[in-house]
Amino acid sequence: MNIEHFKGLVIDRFREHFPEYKIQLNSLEGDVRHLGLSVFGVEKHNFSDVQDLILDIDCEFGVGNGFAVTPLVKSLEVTQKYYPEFLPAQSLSVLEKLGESESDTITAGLQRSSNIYQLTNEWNRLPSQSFENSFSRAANEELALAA
Amino acid sequence: MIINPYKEKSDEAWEDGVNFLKIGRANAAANRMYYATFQAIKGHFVVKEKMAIDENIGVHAKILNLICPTNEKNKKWNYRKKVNELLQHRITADYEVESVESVTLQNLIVEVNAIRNEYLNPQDN
Repeated sequence: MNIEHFKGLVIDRFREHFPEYKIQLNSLEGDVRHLGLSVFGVEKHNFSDVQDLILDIDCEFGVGNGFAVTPLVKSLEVTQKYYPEFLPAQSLSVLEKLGESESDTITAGLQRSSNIYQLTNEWNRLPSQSFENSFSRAANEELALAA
Repeated sequence: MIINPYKEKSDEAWEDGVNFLKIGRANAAANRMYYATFQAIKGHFVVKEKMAIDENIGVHAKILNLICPTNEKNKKWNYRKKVNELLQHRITADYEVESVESVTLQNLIVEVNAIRNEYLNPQDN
């Protein structure tokens, strides 16, 4: 398995259970084998289930190949305050690539990351190959704001 | 028996984390508690010669995979989940704009400390 395949499995499995949330998948701390799956706008009643699903996905698909995915689950309150553009929308468009330059996403006045790709509800209707192509450069470094 | 080379640092970091949590500094607590746990686990695998003492690249994914080397839903599966959950809070504390909530750490502290102690004083890891 390569990292692109791992990303696809992570996204597919997550979307099977929670297609309604906006998500981001980035590499953590410069390690392309270690992904952070951010999930935005998660209601209290779903918070534990979303987190637990990602932790299980990490065990299921990360084991044996050196990959890992860590949940970064954002409550509805946190999303409203810090990441308002990631609130679940009534109608979401197709998989939206948010750019390829170094400054792509501005979140509440802060640059969140570089080369971020945002997934929307339409992900489920996209063939896996589209994911593979779209995410070929989606291994990103988080901002090193603190160590 | 070979002593875990990170035992002192791990104990110190854990104590710092507990003290930070007591005074409501959940971000600092998440950082210290995670690294206390990370050091205990890394030290264990250094002794087992599965990690190098100076290894520092890709180490967080690596220890998750060393904790749970098979995808059987057993004790190690749960250890990996708990350490990864704590890592989530450390990443949030260090990089994200929002803060860690104390209650999330309080819910983890007993189980994670038990895992940490098992790697500091291994029986059969």
